[in-house]
Amino acid sequence: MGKHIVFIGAGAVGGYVGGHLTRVGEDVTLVDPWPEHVQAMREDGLHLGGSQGEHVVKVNAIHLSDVQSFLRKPVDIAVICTKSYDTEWSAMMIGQYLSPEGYVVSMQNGINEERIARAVGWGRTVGTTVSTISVNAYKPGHIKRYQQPGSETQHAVFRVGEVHGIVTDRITELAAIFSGVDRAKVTTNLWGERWTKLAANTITHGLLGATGLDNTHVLLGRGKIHRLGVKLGAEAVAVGRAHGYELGTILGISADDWYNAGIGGDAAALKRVQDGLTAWMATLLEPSHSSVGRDVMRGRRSEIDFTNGLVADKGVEAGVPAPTHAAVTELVRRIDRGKLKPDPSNVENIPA
Amino acid sequence: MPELRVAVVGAGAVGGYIGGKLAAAGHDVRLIDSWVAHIEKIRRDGLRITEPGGSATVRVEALHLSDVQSLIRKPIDVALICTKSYDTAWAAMMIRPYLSASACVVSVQNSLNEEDIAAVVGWDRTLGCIASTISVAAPNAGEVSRARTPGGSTYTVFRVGEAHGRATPRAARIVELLSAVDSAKVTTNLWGERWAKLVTNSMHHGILGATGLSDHGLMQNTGTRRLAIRCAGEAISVANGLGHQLEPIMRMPAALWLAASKGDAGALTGLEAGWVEWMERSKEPHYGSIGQDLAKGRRTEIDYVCGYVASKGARIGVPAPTQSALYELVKRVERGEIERSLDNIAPLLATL
Repeated sequence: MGKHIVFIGAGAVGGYVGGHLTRVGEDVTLVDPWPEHVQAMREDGLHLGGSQGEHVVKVNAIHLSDVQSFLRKPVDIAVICTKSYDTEWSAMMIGQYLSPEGYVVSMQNGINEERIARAVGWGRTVGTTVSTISVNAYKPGHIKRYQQPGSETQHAVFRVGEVHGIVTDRITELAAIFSGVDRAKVTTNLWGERWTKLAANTITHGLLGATGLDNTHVLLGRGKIHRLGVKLGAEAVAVGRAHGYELGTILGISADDWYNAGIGGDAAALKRVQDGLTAWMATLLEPSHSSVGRDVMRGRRSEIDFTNGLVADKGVEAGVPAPTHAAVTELVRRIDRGKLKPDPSNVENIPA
Repeated sequence: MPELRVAVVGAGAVGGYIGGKLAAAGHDVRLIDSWVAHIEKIRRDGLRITEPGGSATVRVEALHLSDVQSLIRKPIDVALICTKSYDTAWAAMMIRPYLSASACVVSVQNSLNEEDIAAVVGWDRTLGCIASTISVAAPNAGEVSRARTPGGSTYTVFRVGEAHGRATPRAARIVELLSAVDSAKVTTNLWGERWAKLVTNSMHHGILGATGLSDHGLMQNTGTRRLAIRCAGEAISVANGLGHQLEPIMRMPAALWLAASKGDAGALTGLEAGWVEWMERSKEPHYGSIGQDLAKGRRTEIDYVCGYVASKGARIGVPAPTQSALYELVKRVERGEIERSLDNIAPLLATL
């Protein structure tokens, strides 16, 4: 019998992945706190679009008030796709309905496995890094993917790992399940994958949130915003390495190049970073504001504490400075609280 | 002193009534609930409150769970948790990031959930409030109703207490707040109040849930009445073992219940007379919240009633076998394995 897979948070990532899994025949339930979105999915199905074609999927979508019904249909795999700040309560809520061998998967930005483990235990905690999916829930019931599928570029979009790095049956099975959506692999290096993704996100997230600009200013522009982006990448590499993480390529560029370009002042490395960023932009269907930037524009709380804020905090922990991360975090925190408006001038005083 | 910003987490019968009355009295309050249609209706048409004195429609801020993140801009001073017991921990976790520096979280629920709340926000921010014989219901979206006349000066409905029992200024402020709803006082015996209510609930809910009887039916049948008294005796023994000083149970002292449960004929006669008198107050038959949930095929709070008594008893070595057996029966009904029937408790009645 198939596993009962529940997505907690059916926004951009959860809705896209859960929708495609439903389409290929998995037993999926989508849970989301956004009423209009759930309503739209129930009435007209979930519309998936973009780089993997147009699909209307008849999904099983429920409101949070119906989660208690899982008492009669326990959850084998709970995939948490909420904002990072909603991780712990989501894990607590769903933890009560796990089957005896059920487990919880973080498919989020940031590094939330520890929060999930606090609620359900380390034995029931699995991580999945989503590498460059670029999806957006642009209106209720509609999600679009902006990035070419990994199946065409031989890039593993889903990297499924145990926290201890051992290749277990359950993550092998989970990777096989996710491969119904796009290319997936088992990783023995979950923490390295997580930090690599965090580094990639934090090059743009806080910066675009603070300025209101789109990612072309970082990837294609060569002015102050671009220079700050390079510095953010270098700081993230330095902090991650201080924690002992084994890093992969970040936006297609080696960790060494990021470090040498942003902190080492190496002109050849900077050239490679710039060429890499230009090439990266070509893989995107259109410019993006990043999830933090989108939340800021919508007046919603962003994940800044769990992206750039996490790099800054981990830097303090390791004694490796990450002043640029700390500075953009502070700006976006003020924007989140309604005390500042996004504007390019906000970053004027941050040294690049 | 600045006005308290209040959030009611769980705006069903109890939360909706309290929040609605607070709003009507001009307090700064918002309702938060996962029941989408309820929140929609309150936003569109206001909250309809029906009680013996008449009906009124109140305008009150109402938030879906997806709107909770907006509280980052204006933190909460008092969070009243009025959810089902099984939603306590995650509800507390959900509201935690939005608490002000001096905020506190108050459980206004059945059973004893302060420990679950404290595990999330800390004991220093946790208070309890008993809503005694409030008799409210949320029959339809956007509506709450109250069957009994407000307590006024004859009976204190709300008893607010600190875990440590001291009458603190903040407990007094919450009493002052709730006085806008009905009579309220500070209790210095939160645990004794909580357990007295739990004795009443656990002697009723297990039997009502397993059989489908009403509270009147339970009392009128000698077998079920005696079984309920045995349940009460077990719960009182556990409470005594935990060192609590029980408040009266249905206006009769715990010692009388305990003596009756142990076969003291005089105590039994007095108790049964007192019980009949107690039931005079409520002519309508009640099936209890657990009976109502079972009728709707929803998850019940039995884990936090009979299940709680049994597990606390097991922890301290005080057996509560009747509570434990009734708990198992209701769990089976909840999972849809058996129907509610008097036959379910025949083996228990045979042991009387």
